[in-house]
Amino acid sequence: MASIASKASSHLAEASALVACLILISATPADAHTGTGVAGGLKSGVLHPVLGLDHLLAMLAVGIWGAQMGGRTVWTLPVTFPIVMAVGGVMGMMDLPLPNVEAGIAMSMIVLGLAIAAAWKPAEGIALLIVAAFAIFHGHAHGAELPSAADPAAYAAGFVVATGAIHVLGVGIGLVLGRILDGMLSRALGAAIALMGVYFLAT
Amino acid sequence: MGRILADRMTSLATALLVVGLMTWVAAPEALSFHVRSGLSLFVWSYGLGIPVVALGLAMAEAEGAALAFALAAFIVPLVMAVEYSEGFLLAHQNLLALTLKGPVAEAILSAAAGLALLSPGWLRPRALILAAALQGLMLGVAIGLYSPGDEIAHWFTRSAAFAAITAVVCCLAVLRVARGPWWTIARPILGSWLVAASVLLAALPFVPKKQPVAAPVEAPAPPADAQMHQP
Repeated sequence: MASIASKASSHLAEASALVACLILISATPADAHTGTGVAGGLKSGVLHPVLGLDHLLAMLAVGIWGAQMGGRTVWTLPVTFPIVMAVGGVMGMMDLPLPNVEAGIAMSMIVLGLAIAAAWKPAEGIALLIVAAFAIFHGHAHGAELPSAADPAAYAAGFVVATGAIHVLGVGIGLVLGRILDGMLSRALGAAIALMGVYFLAT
Repeated sequence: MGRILADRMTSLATALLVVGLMTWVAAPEALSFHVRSGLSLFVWSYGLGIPVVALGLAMAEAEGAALAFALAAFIVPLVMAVEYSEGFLLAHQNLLALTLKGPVAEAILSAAAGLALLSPGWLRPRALILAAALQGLMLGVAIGLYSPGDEIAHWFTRSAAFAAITAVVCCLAVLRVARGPWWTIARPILGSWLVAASVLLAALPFVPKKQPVAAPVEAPAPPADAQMHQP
């Protein structure tokens, strides 16, 4: 019975990921990050992922999902995300075009939220690939604002550290909630993140 | 053995902190600016300070010979670079040029510390020693460049070198006592932050600086009685 439920969850998550990718391709940008604002230094860098609810929830989801899957993924997901995000950041800094950045960020909330809600535990490589793909969008949004910062080096350090701290917080939340009600609270939080992603996509 | 080493490191860190604090408080007035600027250099320049802290944390896992080599690899080039700064800077002009490019040097420091934390177990001692040597050398050059260059500049450079060594030993000592299973998760995550920051910092010199878009300035509204003053 448990294995049937597990298989159903897995299929649900795969179908969700497919639907999410289709929506991503057809979505229009929300333009929340214009890349023209006046950014400062370390404080601006730290605040950018913290005050942007879309970034915050997506990165929390990375940590929660890693904790939910357990094993090496507790740290491999939060390790992969910032490194690939930095590559996306360089793309943003260089003004390399990336379509639908805001939609990509919203989709990251939907896909990661659904993965948590469904307690999907794919192979580590697949999970890393999903996280890495979405990290590009988050990095691009941060990176686009970096060259106009008063102190770009401090801004970069700030947003990388804040991103990592949110991941660690997500891992902590995932590990704590995973022990309550057989992980149902964690899954409910995932569903809420996915719903917020739908909201961001729609607006 | 590990317990004894942890205790010795804690004692050393405490002694260094006490000496640093006493130097800060008791420095004669003529030298206090140089001493205090040197001691606080790594607080104000977090591009240099964060990799130093990370190196100290990376050293916390090293044991025996690997730890001794890593400490020596950090301290010897740092002290050499500080004590013989003029000759050293002339002899290492390429390194100097690299350091002068600002974020590139910080990127190298971050990448070295990050890779020392991220490396798999078998490679970690080698990566640590390499990172320690690289950091010692580059910090020595950086301290020389920050030096005020007057006749008492050595008070600044020696204080800064002392602060760097103290920061590494304190982080190493604290983590040796506090580390637990959580460090297995925290270590690679911290390493990935540093590598990510280094990627961004390395790209920075090649990105054209964008001019921030200023908010449109509205002309102030004329006072209500403006017409009354018209000729």
